[in-house]
Amino acid sequence: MAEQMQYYTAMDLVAQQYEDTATLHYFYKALREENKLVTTKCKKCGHIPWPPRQICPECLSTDYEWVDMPKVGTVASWTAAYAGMPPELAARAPMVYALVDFENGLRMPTAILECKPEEARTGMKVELVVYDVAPDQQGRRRVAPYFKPVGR
Amino acid sequence: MPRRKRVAIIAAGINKWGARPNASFRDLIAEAGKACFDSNPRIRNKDIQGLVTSGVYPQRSGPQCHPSPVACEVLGIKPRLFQNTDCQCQSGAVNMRIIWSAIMAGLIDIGMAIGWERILIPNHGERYINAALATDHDWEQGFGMTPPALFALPALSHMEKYGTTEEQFAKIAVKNHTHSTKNPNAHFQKGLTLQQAMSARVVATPFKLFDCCVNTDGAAAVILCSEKLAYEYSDNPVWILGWGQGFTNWTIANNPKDLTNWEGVRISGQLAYKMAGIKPKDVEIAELHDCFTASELIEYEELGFCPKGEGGRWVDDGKNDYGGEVVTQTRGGLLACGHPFGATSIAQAHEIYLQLRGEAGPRQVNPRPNIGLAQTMSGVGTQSMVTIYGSDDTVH
Repeated sequence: MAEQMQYYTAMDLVAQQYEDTATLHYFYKALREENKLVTTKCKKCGHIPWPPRQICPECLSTDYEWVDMPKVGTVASWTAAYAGMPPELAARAPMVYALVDFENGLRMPTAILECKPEEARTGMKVELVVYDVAPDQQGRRRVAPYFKPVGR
Repeated sequence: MPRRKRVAIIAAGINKWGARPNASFRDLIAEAGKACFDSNPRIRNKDIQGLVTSGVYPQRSGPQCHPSPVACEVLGIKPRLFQNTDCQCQSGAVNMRIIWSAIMAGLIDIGMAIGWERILIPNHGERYINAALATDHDWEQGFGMTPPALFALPALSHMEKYGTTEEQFAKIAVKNHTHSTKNPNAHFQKGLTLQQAMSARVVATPFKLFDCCVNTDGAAAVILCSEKLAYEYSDNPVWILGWGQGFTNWTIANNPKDLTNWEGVRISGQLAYKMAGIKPKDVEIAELHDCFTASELIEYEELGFCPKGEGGRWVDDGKNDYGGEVVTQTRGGLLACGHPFGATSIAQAHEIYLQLRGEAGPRQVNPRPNIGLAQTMSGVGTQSMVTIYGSDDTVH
């Protein structure tokens, strides 16, 4: 797919994920190799942001460490999208999209897999699914942190 | 209620909005620019000292970078201040504020703000990739969430928290599509019934087709002028009384936890009301950012037209329409006019200019209003800009 894609950078919605293409590449290494969702923690003031940051938005320190995100999240709001999506996703419609809250106070937008629109609800417990998305320009595997209902 | 004269709108024009496959971005700019000059024959292109363009996707839909000198050449303008600006859906308001600032700073006395979007490019997939670019590339774009899904999330929250119904959302679409039957520049002019709105296909739950605004090609232009020269060019200028811009965050992950809390909109309104020296109850007409029906409903609340959580009831009571408390979206809003991003705020200014001068024809609000508010927004309630306009009767 990557080698077929024209105008690669302008049409690529997926983040770069490797040491030679991304500063915060460990985030994706943890997803790919350890099936683990992580974020940064500021070693100076202790602030834990989402998304991960190379500069602390509270104290501007550049000294950070990686910490694990909670395993389970809770759906704060959701929608089942039937139209209006980029090509590869439109083929998978309806997609259930959600904002997921974690007990550490963080929230992230994501897609909920293995969940029919009629099964989705606010308050639903969900867990991480490491999902393969389009490879990068060098053909390397890229992943995204999707979720699914707990126990699915 | 005396208010300061600062900068006035002295001309405004718009072109036909809709699917315009045969119109390049030069064509769209030519049409709106010509309409703007035609609205006030006292101003000639050679008089314009500053020109700012606002367009969000020129590098993808032209493709064209550096579009402001293109507009200068198309319209025969040789300005001493020119640039393009992109602030997504707020671009047109930001554009006008650049001209306003240049006039306030004494750099120029008269300048044109012209906004456009050529967005209905032939390939649908490319359109929806473009739509996803309004989210964060590194962390959020890859999920492929486009605006319908993003705005559906607070819509569901508003329903769950306040009991707002899909029918109340639909009534906003019916109102705006009814208004646009009297607007020959609107993308849609056929009207809409509640039954049609409620039975339309689902885009992203709870939104159905008519809950969503549409991608539209179009352009709009206004000319702003200093107090010093305003009456040389116009007998009936419309004054900019106040601006406000609000920002809470960028990534969707960091939107306020209560998704119905559109703090960015609230801040923009509060700042603009303060600068203009007015209260929400003084607003007679409003052009709001109805990218989705739920957006307009939440904006009623955040701009102080009704208490938080009562937007649905305010709709049911008809307070948002002719004969109500604030006449909203007289041109048809984004829902019925369409939403060419860089032009939308300028089209809002154009509509308020007509209404405050009593020149809005079959859609004129009577008695002629003196105070109008326009609001546009990037992000889901997190970044917003409000402009307050006053007729010549409101300044001294």
